[in-house]
Amino acid sequence: MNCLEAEALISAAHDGETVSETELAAARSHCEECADCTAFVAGLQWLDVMPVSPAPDGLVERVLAAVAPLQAARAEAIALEAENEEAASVGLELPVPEEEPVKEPAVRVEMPATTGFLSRFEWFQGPTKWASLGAVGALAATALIAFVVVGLGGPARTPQTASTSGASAAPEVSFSDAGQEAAPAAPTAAPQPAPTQAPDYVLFRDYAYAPGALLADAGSATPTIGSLTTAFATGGSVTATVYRSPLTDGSIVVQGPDGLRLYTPVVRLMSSIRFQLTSGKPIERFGVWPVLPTRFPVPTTADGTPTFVLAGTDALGVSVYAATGRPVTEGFAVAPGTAASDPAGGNPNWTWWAPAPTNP
Amino acid sequence: MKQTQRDDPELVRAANDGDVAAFEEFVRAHTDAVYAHAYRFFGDVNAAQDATQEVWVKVYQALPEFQGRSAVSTWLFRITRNACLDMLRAGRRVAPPIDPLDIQGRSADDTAGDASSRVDLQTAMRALSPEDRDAFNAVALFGLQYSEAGSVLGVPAGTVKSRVFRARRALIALLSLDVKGGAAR
Repeated sequence: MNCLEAEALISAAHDGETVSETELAAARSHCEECADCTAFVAGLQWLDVMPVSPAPDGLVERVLAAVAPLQAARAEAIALEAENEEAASVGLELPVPEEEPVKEPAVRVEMPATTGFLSRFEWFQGPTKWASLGAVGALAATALIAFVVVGLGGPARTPQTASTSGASAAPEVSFSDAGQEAAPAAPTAAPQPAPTQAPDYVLFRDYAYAPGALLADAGSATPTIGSLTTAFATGGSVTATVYRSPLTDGSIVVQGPDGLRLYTPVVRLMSSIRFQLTSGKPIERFGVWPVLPTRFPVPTTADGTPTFVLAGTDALGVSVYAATGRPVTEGFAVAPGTAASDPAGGNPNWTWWAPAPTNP
Repeated sequence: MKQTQRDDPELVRAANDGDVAAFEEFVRAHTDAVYAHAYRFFGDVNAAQDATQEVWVKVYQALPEFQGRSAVSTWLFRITRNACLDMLRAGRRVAPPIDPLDIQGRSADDTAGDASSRVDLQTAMRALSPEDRDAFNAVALFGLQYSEAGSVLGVPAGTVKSRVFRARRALIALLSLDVKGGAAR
């Protein structure tokens, strides 16, 4: 047995690997007589006791702070799931988003105005009433989802706005323990589509919302949460009152020219977390595209550098870009040129997606 | 890797179910290994801290995907290694090459626990080839078996064995480790 063979055997045995007892004995015997191998064995032991650089003080706390928003979102998703299960247990089947192609053009869906707006709040507060009102509730929710899917997307779009459980759909990067992880997709310079008119977005606290179902009149007692400025589709700019939504999907209710209308958040999912479209300048009227927040210079490169760096892909497989030096959990950018079915489809600008507010 | 009261699979399952304390326990148990790998990879404290944070965010996001088909340590090493590689590919960090001639041998007064030996070890680690360093870290930092490390690195267990052995010989030579009382020769 030569030195290399002896040292390799001892190294493997040191790591707990199975080696032949006979061969190991021979290696040890060799080492007792060989100065170089004796030095190797001693060095092996020395390496074991050499200290590993410990993580600096405060790093664990920094890590936990970075993960905290994700934990909060997960807790919300778990609670929502429990809520849905509870609803199902009393006979209400909430619509589950499916990846069915929706081929019809956008149609504005009117919710049946059988009761007042305040009474709708009661629907969602008392699970015992869900069973009797299940048909109306399911219709409203289906209409909401249908509008979002049809209004913002094409055939292949997954209706992100109605789901917080997209983890199983397509995580941005596979970190499964089943095999080798795929690296994030390389930045691609997708061809720019011809400019199209933006959807009927409104902007509330810098977050974009798309119109949903029309609701009945709320009356004077409906809780308000603020106001926004828009000209809607026509006419001059007005300050519209914003009400809290009876839904728990992050939507808001806006007093428009045709009455109270649900506006649903424009979101995309990344690792089950909802990120909502924002805009760095006001959306004065329908048909205006959101733009990046002013703190970000508009990238001139296809991969967003140096403003952004590729951070992975979202649940739809779209490349997302974190602000350089910042974690993607704080938000991410999406390059123009996404498919028409994408929530940002048609937008000629880079867009910024921030963690969606849980309670607008 | 440090031992915890609950074993790693239990902590991962609990964290995935929303147990914040379980995830914190998991983080505290393994952050040193994650950080050490990142530090050896980048050779820079700030980059290593950023990478460590990114690793744990990715670990948290990947909790639902952990199915127990591999050891937790294997899964964690895979995420750690890939997060560092992703940062490098994205150009967010660079790992400057090290000239082995720049590495100083330990003086006779050095001891295992002092700062100078730590610096030398980390510097020496970066003088290894990336392949050898990854294999060595997988085994020495994350406690993986050769076959487990091979599954992450995409090579047979025998190759891991060779790389770990080569890394050890190089480190021992670079650091001038000697048998006699732990002093340098």
